[in-house]
Amino acid sequence: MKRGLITNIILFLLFAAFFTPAVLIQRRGLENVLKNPPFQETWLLSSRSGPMLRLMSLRYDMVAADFLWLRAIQSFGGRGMTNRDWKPVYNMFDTITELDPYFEQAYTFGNLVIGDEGGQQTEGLKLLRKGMFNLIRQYRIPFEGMYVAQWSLRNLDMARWFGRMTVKRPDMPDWVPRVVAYLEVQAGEFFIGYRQFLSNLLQAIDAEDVALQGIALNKVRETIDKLNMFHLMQAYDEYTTATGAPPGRIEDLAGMPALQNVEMPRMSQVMALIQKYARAQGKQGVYEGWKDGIAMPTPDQIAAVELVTTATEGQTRMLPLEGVIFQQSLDKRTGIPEEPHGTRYVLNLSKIGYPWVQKDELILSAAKLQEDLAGLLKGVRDAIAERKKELGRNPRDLHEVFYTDFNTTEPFGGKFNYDPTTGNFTSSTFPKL
Amino acid sequence: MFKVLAISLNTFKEAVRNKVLYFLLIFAILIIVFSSFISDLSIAAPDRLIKDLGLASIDFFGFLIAVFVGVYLVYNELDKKTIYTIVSKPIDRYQFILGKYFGLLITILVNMVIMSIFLFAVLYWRETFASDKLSNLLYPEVSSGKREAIANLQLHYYWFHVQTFFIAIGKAVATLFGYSEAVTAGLLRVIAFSALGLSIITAFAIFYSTFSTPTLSAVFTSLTFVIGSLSEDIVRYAEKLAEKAGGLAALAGADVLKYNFATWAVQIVPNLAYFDKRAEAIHGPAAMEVPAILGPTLSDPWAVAYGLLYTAGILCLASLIFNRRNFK
Repeated sequence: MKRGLITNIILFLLFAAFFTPAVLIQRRGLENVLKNPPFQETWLLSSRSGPMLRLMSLRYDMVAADFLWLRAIQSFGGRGMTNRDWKPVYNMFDTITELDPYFEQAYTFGNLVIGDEGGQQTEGLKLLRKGMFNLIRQYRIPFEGMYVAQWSLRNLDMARWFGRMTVKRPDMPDWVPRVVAYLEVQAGEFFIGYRQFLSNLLQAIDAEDVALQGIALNKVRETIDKLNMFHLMQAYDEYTTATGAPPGRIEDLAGMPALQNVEMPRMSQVMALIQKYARAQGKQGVYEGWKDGIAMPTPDQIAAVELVTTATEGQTRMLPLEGVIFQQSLDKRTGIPEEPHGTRYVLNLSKIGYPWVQKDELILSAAKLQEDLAGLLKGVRDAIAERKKELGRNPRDLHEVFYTDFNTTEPFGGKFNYDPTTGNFTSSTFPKL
Repeated sequence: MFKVLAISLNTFKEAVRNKVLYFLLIFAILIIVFSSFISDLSIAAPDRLIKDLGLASIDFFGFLIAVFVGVYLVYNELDKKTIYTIVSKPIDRYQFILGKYFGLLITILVNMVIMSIFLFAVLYWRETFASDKLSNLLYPEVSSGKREAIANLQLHYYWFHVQTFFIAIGKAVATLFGYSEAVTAGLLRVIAFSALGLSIITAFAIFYSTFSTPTLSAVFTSLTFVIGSLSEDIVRYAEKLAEKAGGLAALAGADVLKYNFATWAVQIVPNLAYFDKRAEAIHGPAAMEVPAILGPTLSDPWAVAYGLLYTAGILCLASLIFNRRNFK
């Protein structure tokens, strides 16, 4: 009995002697485990491990991609949004797309997570670029690349490249070329943009799609306007360099080299061509409601259009005539170009001479400048009315309104008149405005 | 022919008594059914997850059945000495091997059919609930834009589930006979090719079991499956070796041996990638279209021919070895 008790005690002590250090060692080990990130994150996420994982998954790579996809969604919240640690999240999406190169959502969601949320647009673009070459028929991935490059990275050249990739994809919706053409126009490639918008306009006429006609027509007008402005601004620079002073009238620019013998489309000519070719096919052409605010051709201009009979013969659609109309709409002209809204280009004299003014505010259409003038008049009239309420009478002069001299130049080159007896404030150019 | 059929049916009966088979089947079905719940965790492409997991389960558990059931088929006959009662009858040894092979293949196919029914049923079930069918039924439009709950709402709710369950099962069975909806389009082809790939693995399982123990046979079959899955990567590995060295002529030392071994090995080992059509079914063939310059992959008829020929070859080899085997 006694011996048995002693044996038990010895065994217990031995147990304690062996087990306690074992527990202590284990505890130390567990502390180290907690110091280190979990298994997946040290091995899987510290680098781009896709190719290795693909081999290990033995043709079940899509299943591996799925599980990693679910993990990536969690990591977006945990590692990304909470810890702001985007590198492992990128590696994860890279691995997913390595395992399943056709997983479209992994590219687009990966870019959204890493680029838009994480601010790592370059990494997001890397994913999209990879997806774009793996999924060669879908427009969505290069389109997102274009969006990120243009609106997040402000890299127009890269955006244009993605755009060109996008328009080659067969599933691309019809509005995509318009976005791409917009970028081309932004980049100064006016003729590429113009041709695309012209093509859209002809398509819309064929389809009798009034809404699309409106959009396309607006874009054609905008592109021609931008091209005109480009040449006008060049002429403006040439003038100021040659004379050392800003021009006093828009006509001063007409003799500048930038406006000599320049090939450019005219809105009225485009409209004349469309009208003539559409009539030849028995179509209405551009919807009447859209003709407001457009430089329309004169009857002589329409009559002067010569139909290219080889191109029109047997043709019932306008779109195949795109090349012909494009060519015929261009002509070499000298002097101030035609303003596509149907008014004329003018100098904004109230802005000239101020170094902080943006260059594109210096020249604009007469209609737009008139709008600006109306806004300016309204602003001053409101200020006069406010002051009148305070004084109980009309202010004696504009100094009493603004507490300083009112020395804004009238944009058309006229004068501002203030009548203290009536409180009227008018422009000499447009007294009734 | 009848002798082979008799052995096959007998093997099938024997195999269905194997408890391992049921464990594998239940496990596969659980994975397929639970894939529906797992897919809810995904913010996009939930159907893809179910299809991926389901098709991979069908393929992988088919492989496990081939290994765990197949490797014992010949061994058990030898171990329990029942082979003596068979070879003493007017049955050729190759007929015995073929009978065992087809018996096991039938077992695998039956299991694949059961797993497929569950996969299709899960997909049809989810498809029904993805639409507004249930809410439209429970809350019909009484006037323009105004909906009201029907009487006995709960009863209808549960009845709809029961109805959907049976419709999903019915459609799933019909899918095996060619019925298809967008959600199951192309899946039957994937499963058929998967079965073809498994027929090769089954042949290997029988082949190894003619001359080794079940454990070794299982290891060999598994390794064959691994190598078969990697054979295209072995080719790429050999190419990479040559590329790294700066051309085939520049290869030296151990690299020459590695290159030759890799290029020769891939000629012999089965290429199971030919039977893997999962990506095509899930992404659609258009998404995976490669530029013509890359050349076409092995077309379906060629893949079928390859599978049948390879299987026949392995079965011949197995019969050859089994013919020379001494049962003492």
